[in-house]
Amino acid sequence: MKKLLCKLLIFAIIVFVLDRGISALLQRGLDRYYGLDKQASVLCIGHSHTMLGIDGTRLEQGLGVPVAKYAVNGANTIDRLAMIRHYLGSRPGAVKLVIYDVDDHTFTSSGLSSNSYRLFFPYLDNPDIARFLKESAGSWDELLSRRIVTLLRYNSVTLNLALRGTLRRYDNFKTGQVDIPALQNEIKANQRPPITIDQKMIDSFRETVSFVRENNGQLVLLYIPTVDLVNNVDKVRHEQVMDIFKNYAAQDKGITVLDYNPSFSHRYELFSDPIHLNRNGQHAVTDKALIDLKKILLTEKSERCKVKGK
Amino acid sequence: MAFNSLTYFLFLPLIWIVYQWAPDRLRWLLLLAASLGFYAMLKAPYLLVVLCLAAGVTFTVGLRLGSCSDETGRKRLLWVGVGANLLVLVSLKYLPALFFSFNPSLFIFNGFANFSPITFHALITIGISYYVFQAISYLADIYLEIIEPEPHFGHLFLSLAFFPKLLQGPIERSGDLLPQLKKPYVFDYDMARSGMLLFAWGLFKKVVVADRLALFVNTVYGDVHAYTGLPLILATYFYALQIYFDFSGYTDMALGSARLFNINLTRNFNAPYLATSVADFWRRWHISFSRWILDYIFKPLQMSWRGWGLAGTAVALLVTFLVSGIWHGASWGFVVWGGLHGIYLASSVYYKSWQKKIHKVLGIEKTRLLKVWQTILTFNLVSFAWIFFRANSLADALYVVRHLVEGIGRVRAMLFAHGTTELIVALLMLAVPLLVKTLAVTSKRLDMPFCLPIPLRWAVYCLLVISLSLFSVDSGRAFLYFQF
Repeated sequence: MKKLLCKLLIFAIIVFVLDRGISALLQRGLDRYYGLDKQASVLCIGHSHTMLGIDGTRLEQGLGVPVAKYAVNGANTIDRLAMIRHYLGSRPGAVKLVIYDVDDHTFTSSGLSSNSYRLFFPYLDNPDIARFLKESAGSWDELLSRRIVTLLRYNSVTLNLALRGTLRRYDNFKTGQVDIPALQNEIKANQRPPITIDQKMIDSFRETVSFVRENNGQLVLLYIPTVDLVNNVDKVRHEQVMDIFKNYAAQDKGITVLDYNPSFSHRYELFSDPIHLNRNGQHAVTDKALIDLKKILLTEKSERCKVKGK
Repeated sequence: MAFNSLTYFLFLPLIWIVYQWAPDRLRWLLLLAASLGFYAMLKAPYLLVVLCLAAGVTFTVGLRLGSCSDETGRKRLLWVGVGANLLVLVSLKYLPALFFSFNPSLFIFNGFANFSPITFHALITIGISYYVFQAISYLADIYLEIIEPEPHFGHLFLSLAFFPKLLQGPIERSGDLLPQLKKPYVFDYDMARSGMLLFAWGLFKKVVVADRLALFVNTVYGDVHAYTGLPLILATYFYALQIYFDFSGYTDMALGSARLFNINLTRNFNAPYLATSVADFWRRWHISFSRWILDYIFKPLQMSWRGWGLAGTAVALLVTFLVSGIWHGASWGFVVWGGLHGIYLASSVYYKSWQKKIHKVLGIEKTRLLKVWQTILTFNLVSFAWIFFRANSLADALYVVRHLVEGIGRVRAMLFAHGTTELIVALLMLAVPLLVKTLAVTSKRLDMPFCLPIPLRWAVYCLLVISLSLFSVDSGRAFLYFQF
C-alpha cells in the first residue's frame, strides 16, 4: 500500500511538472499568435473574419508600428469585451488604435458559437478572463478541472494556434474559392442564419466602445467584406445594423466606420466561402486597410500635436 | 455521475481510501452506500426506491425459490420474480416514452420542463435495464439450481447495484460476483496498479478517441440529407469505431474501478471487429449481454422449438435479436438493427454447412486470405446494421442506405468540418489503440505495459496522462450506452 502511494505521489509530481512545462510552452506560442507578447499600438479584435481577413504582419510592416491580432473563432461581442479588457488591462496606454470587426451578425446572439468561451481557457490565470469564464462556464467542474490540470485548457483550435504562433505561421492557408451555385441554392432554400439585434449584445458593444474610448484608443469599426449575395438576403436588417455603427461614428470623432463591402463583396475570387476571405482576399483587404489606417493614425497624431500645442 | 467527470475522479479515490481502512464486516455496507450515493447523483432520487424495491422482491423470491421443492410452485415463483422485474423495466423504460409520444405536455406540467424528452428519458431509465437483467439471471440461476439463494440481503443488493457496473454493465452473474464481494479484502498491489491503468486507458478511449470520432459522425448524421456517397460511408465506419471505443472505454473504466476493490468483472469486449462471422462478432461484442440473451432468451426458445429442426434455431435467433433491438429502445431503427443481426445469424444456420464445403473445394479452408476476407465482410455487415442504430430516424437511415454509393459527395466538407488539426489529431489518436492492440498481439505479451523496463513504462504512463489532458474533446459528453 505504502509502495503504491509513494509511486503515485512521485508520478503526480512528474505529471504536474510536465503539465505546467508543456502548457507554458503552448501559452508562449498562443501569446505570440495573438500578439499578447508585445506592446502593440494597433490592436485588431474580432472573430474568424479578422483571423482570415487581416494580415497582421503586412499591417505591421506597412504602418511601422507593432500590431496585435487578437482574433478568436466565433467570438461574439461579450467575448470581445473580455478580450479587449484582457489586452488593454495588461498594457495600459499602449494601444492607440483598436480595429474591431463588425458584420450583420454582430448583435446576433445565436449566430456564433455558444461555447466560444472555451477558447479563452488558456488565459484562465488572467483576472479579467477568469471573471468572464466564471460567468460563461457551464458547470463548476469545468473551471476547477482546468485550474488543476492546465493542459486541459487547450483544445484542437487553441493547440493549433499555439503551434502556429511557435512556428510564426500567421498566414491564411485558405486558397480555394467560394462555391457560388451552392450558396445560391442555400439562399433559395432559406438556409442562411437570420440577422437579429439582441439587447444583450448591444449593451456589451456599448460597454466595449466606452472602455476603448476611456483608455484613449481610437476605434475603427471595420466591416470585413462578405459575399454580396449574403449581404442582400436581408437588406433591411443589414441597413439597421449599419445605422447603429454609423450613429456611434457620428457621435464620436474617435470612432470610424470602414465598410469594405462596396469594394470587394462582388469579387468572388477573393472568398474561400461566403463569409471568409481566402489568401488573396486577405492581401487585398489588408492593403486597402493600410491606406485608410495610415490616414486615421496621421489624423490622430496631428490631433494630439494640436492638443499639445495648445 | 459519469466516469469521465471530475466528481467521479474525486469520488473513486475517496471511497477507495475509506475502503482500505474500513473493517471487513462493514466493507459491503460502505460499497453499497457508495453505490447508492453514486446512483443518487443522477438527480432522480425515486430511482433509489425502485432499486430497493426490485432488490427486495428479488431477494424474497430468491429465498422462496430456494426452499420450494414443488416444480409448479417454483415455476410460478420464478415468473413472479421475473414479472416484477420486467414490470419495473417496462414501466420505467417504455411507458414514459409511450406517454410522451402521446402527450408531451404531461411532463412539462409535472415539473420536468427543464429536460428535453431525450434527456428525461435517459435519466429515468439509466442503468435500470442492466440492474433488472442481473436480477432476472439471479432468479433463473436459482431456479436452474446453478446457484444457491443469497441469505444476506445487503450482499445481494450490493451485487446488483455495485457502482462500477451499475449504469452500463457488464451484466454480472451473481455466481461470479457474490463470492468476490464476500471475500475478506486484502490489498493487492498488482490489482490496484492494473486497475488504475485500465481506468486511464478506458478514459483515453472515451474522451480522446470516441468523442473525437463523434465530431465527424455527428456532422454527417446530424444532417444526412446534405451528404451522399463517400461521406456517408466514412461516417458509418467512424460510428462503428466510435461506439466501440465509447462502450469498451466505459467497460475498461468499470473494470478498472472494480479492480481497486479486488473485484474482477467480466470482460465485455474481445476485439469484436476482428470477428470472422456475425456469430463470432456476438461472442466478442458486449459479451455479458450476448451471454445473457443467449442463455435466457435464445436457449429456452430453441428448446421449445427444437421440433422444427433448423427452422426452430433460425426463428429463435431472429426473435432473440429482435428482442435485443427492442431492449435498446422503442424505435424502429433499433428494431431494424436487431432484425438485421437476427437475419444475418438465422441465414448462417442454413448456409454454414454449404460454406464449409465450398471452402474445402476451393482449397481456401483455414487460409489467412479467407480469414481477412471474412473479417472485412463481417465488419461491413455489422457497420451496415449500425446505420439503423445511429440514424436519427428510420427515414434518415433509409436515406443513408439509398445514397451510400453515390460518388465522393462532400467528403472535404465532412472531413474538414472541424479544421485540419482536428482531423490530424483524430487520425493520430485513432492509431494509438490500434498500435497498442497490434503490439500486444504480435509480441504475445498480455501483461503490457507492465513487462516493459521501468523508465519506458513510466514514459508510457506519462504519455497517457498528458494525451488525456491535451487531446480530450469535452468531459461533458455522456457515454452512448447510458441511454440503454
